Amino acid sequence: MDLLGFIIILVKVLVVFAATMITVMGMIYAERRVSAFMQGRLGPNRVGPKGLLQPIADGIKFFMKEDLIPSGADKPIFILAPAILLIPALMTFAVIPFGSSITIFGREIALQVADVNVGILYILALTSIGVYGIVLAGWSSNSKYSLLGGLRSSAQLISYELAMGLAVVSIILLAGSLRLNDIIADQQGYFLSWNVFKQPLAFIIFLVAVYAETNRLPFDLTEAEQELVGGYHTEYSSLKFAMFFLAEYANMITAAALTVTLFFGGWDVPLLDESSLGLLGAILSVLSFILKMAFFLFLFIWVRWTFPRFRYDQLMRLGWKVLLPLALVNIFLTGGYLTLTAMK
Amino acid sequence: MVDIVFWIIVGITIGSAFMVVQSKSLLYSAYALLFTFVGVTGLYVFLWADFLAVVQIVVYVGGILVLIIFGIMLTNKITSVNISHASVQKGIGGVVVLGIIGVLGYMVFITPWNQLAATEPEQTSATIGRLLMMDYLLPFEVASLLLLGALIAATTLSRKEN
Amino acid sequence: MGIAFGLISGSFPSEKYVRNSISLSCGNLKYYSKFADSKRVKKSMYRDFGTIFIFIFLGIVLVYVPLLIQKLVAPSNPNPDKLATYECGEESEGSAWVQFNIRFYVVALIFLIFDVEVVFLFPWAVVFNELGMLAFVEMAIFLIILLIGLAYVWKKSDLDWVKYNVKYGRGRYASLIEKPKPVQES
Repeated sequence: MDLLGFIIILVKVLVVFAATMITVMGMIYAERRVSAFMQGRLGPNRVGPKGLLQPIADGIKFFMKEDLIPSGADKPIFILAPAILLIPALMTFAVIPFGSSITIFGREIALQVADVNVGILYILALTSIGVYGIVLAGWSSNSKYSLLGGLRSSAQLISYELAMGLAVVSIILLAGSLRLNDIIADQQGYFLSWNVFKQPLAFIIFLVAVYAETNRLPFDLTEAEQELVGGYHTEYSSLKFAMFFLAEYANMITAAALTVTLFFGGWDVPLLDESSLGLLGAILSVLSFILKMAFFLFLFIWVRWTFPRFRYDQLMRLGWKVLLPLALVNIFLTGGYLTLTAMK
Repeated sequence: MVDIVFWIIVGITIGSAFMVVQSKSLLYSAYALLFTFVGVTGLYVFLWADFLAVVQIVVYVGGILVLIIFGIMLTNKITSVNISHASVQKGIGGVVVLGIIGVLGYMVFITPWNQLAATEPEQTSATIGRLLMMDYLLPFEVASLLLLGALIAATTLSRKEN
Repeated sequence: MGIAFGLISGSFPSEKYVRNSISLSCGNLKYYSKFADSKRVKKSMYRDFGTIFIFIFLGIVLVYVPLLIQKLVAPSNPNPDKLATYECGEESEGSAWVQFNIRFYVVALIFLIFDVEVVFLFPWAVVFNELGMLAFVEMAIFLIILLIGLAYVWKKSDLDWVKYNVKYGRGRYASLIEKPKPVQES
């Protein structure tokens, strides 16, 4: 085991952790600010220039608040639940390539933390652990709102996981690999080689499923404020509540990154060969990744203020009776098309 | 380094499995099962079976465990009935367990294990796909029939009779 | 973590890239240069999953160290009213255990079956380009058998969250009776 390799890995892990945290903070700020603009308000503008330091102020406040554990709660599980939700949410980013590669000390470093062979399945697996944290939180709080929110949410997540998985299968049909790097390599070239143009139906199914998986409007039935108070985290306070908040935003960031990776060529800059440009190419690729991701993060906020919430039966109908059959049809179509073109 | 990680994972697996058996509350058992499954995933990784490792999480944690927990939670008036699975007849049970451990241990030591050279497989998912499509086609198609049967039977059983 | 360091060099079947370069019909040069790039990166499963292990460890630190710090700096003077379960300002009544809709369980059951199916689809999709027609037909049989299952649960309205009372106002009485109201079970 060489020390340098180990240090490089450690640095990459830390950088990704820090970047995720900073993006989460930025996203929290952006969410409040953009929401405000969409409603003709100003939003947070007192702390720091243009209110930029607001997330930090919020963070400090979370720290200084009293942490309450309700007397009826199941204490060990109550403490375990935020961790089970937050850790997988942070871990998903480990396999997403966020840039081409840079060369330092004569060693080529891929801009990705762990190049797992089964990358896409790894992400789906972590998503399914997240379900678990929500059920734990709902059950351990010993509150009616929490329990109902937890149950609703888990049923919603598993329903949309299927549609998401099936939409991904049609991408894998094209790429022929579960590695995210191969999926990106499959989309290199001009604009039209991106999967969003090759698989528009899969893209729509995936995008809808992602909104349901991240519990965002129009699918935020788990924390429907008007009926369930706060859903599964009703009883949580101070820092533990902040962790649920963090997990939600971390999930959104991963979802945006995954959408970019699967359908928009990942870090690919159209019409440009990044590797021939050396360091500049790497920087451009990272910038392109960030830009594309920022668009999808903005879309999350935009959609939030555009669509009303679904009813629960509508949600289930959409998941099982529309998205699931559509995704299956899409697989048949893709498979059939690939077979026909191969025969020629 | 690899050894330390290995023993940590083994510890998690066996420790949580012990919790599953030992815990007085059914829900606690179900929660401890999560860590057992995650530990088994780690063991799969040590066997270079990365595809199986993630499938273990997708199917067992994402599907079966959620089903178990729903099952426990849906049971009516669960608080009034004392849900526990306290052990009875500990003496006889202990003797049986010791006997089984003895037999299994003996088997482990006398079996001439077939040791394979440790080479990392190239792409496990592609190999599995090829094997499913070529060599094990019939079991694969029969599996779909089995799944169909399970689906119909399970939904029929859970449907309310009018 | 390092014993299997770089045992494997990138696993790119070259035929795939030929196929892609044909279907893309443009940007081939760029394609190849990038591909050559990623091929040089050494691969090892232990290293990758070891990195993920570091991630888990850091995640645990990130969750519990702040909680410990908070224990030191945050005030703590609980009283029974603060610790009571929230119920919109009222005294909370009864247990949190209410009987749930059986549908949650049915949905989980159906999900499990299809989850296994999706898992089968992944290795199939990986080798699809290699096997072509054969793989397509095989998976079509597999999927159609499962689609029968989907059609069955659909027909038996296991997928409906709100069931309509089907016995009510059928046949020749249908025109006499106004449309039945949905029966909400919860």
